[in-house]
Amino acid sequence: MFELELSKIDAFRNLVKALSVIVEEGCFTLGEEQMRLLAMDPSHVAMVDFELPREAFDKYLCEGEERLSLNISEFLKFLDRIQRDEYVRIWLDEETRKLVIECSRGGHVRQFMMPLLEPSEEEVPSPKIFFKAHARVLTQSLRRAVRDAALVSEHVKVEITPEELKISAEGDMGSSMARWDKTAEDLLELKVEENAVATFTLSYLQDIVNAASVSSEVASLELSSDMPIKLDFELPQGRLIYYLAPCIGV
Amino acid sequence: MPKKIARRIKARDVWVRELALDDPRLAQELDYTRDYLRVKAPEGSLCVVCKGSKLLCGKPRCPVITRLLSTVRLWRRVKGLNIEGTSPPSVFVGRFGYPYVYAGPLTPPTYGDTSILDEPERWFGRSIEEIIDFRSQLIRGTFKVHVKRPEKAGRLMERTLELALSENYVETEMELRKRPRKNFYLDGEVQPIGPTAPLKDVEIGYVRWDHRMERAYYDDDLKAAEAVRMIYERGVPVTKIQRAFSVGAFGLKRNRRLVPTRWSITAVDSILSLDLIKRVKRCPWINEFEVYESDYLGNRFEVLLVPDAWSYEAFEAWYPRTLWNPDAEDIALITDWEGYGGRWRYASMGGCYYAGRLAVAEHLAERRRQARVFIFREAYPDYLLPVGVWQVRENVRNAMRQRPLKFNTLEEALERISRRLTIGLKHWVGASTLLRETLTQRKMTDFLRRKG
Repeated sequence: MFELELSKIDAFRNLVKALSVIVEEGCFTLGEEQMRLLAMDPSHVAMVDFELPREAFDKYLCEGEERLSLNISEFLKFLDRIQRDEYVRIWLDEETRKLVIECSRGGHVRQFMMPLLEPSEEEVPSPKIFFKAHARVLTQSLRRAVRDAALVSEHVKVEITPEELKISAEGDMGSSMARWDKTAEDLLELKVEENAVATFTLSYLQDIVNAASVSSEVASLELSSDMPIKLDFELPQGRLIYYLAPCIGV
Repeated sequence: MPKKIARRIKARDVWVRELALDDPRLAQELDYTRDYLRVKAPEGSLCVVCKGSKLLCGKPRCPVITRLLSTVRLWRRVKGLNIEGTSPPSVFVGRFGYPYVYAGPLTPPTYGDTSILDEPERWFGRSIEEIIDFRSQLIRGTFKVHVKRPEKAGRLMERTLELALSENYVETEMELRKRPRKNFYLDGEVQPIGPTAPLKDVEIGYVRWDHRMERAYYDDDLKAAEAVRMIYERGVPVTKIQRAFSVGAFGLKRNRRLVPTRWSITAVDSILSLDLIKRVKRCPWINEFEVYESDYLGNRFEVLLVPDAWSYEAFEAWYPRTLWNPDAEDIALITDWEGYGGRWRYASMGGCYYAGRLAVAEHLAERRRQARVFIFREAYPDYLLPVGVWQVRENVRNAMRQRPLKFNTLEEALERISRRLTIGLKHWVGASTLLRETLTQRKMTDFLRRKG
């Protein structure tokens, strides 16, 4: 038994969009208090840890624990059909085991039915990595730096030292660099135990930052040298964290 | 692209006669008379200088002579305007002038079971001479037709369509408007094709349609891509599907059209592999690095499967035709790739990309496993003439039939591959996108395991 209602689709749709850049087929764990998704991209390079509490919805009802396997981009296609001023209800039809998405305005109702996938047996463990450096920045300024890097390269280097956060890229077409001094306005926090530097594939990072920046204003970066980066996008409610594995020897 | 014909060499001064003087056996074989042959050469052709004697193209045998022998042997058998024989069956739809194209049936001037002449699935292992011979034996009758209005070509089109859907070889009589032109292109890069002439009329014997294709033909609510998939599932060989596809036998009624043979081959390869890939993506990854090899017609293929999500990169290396130096930088290396989500633009490499993709997708779908796939191809000078995309499909299929060499690491697998190829690994890596990514990109799972 699972049902939720939303008077505005925007925020939820943006979050699903942010999931869809990583996850192809996702298995949501629906609890009584929150919905959760922990998943990796098809080639296991990136991971997303997503949680949305019941308070984020106008109504959220779930008895016991349900697992809901969905093709996220198909789900998003249905959500994209919903108008901004429509009221949304999403529930699981127990008989057909299909997800029903209904939107309505006044007395006019539209409804979509979407099949569920077989839940995969793959259990994704939550990563436990100890990070040596931590920086909190405005998402928009992070996004600009990442887009700058995309002009010149396929890879981007992220560096955190006690003095600064630096994002740079180098390619045949030139190079780009963005630096936040520890006093910079856009850099809200900088905590460094040990200098950290690692390189990442830009296509992943760009997709993640672009999609998440719609929902979140502040992002926390956590880093250790040649280890995955953790990108925690702060939400009004809930959690949206990405992990991205590094490139070595580029 | 059509090559610009810049220089017509009159038969009287052509080098063929010189050849005949040099080699009496060849002369006998050619039975050369002056008006029998008109030779054309593209601008700047080495062949004009070389005359088959110096092998300036760097190939071990002269491709022109190889082709010439088949052609002349055939021409001698063509007398008058009537060609009678058994069509394998075979049809051809040209691509020049699209949407007005030249289409028509092909038949050799001989009777009997000729089916092998147009069935590349059975060609693997044959020598290049035999294959050129198969190709050159077919005489092609053509008529002009608009791809969207085939009915205007009347019975010629009807007969062509029947041939394309036939289950077996068919007795065929073509009445030509004029004798096939005896032009011969002096160029080592031209694909072998038989003589061509405009068609006046064609009669065909009893045709039994392939019932699987017949069903798709009569179902004009069935989309072409679905029809192709359905027929393939029922075991029709890829080249047969391509033949029927080219005459516009499938698809929604209003969308049916002729498709130039060359395009239809790649269209079918692409449709079928996309469908298989969709299935492969739901399968578990392979566990080890696997290497498959095949060597045929001067083409060496090394196929590397990496435990990862589906993605595909194809490499083609062509030797410079002059110096045979693996470390020189002027080897033409072409690559194309796609990630998990597929690609949207046509591969720069052309049809070979899709033919290779079909062969590996067939393999993965059959064993229900997923992998990242690399196909390395080196074409050597003894690949005398381009024989068609089927060579890639069958060569890779052959590779995938072999027992794989298994390795625990990417480095070991690449070590094996680079020992088999003559171009250094660094060149392949330098040209690649996906291979470089595979070498550098770590996975989240590496870190999950370590930290428990």
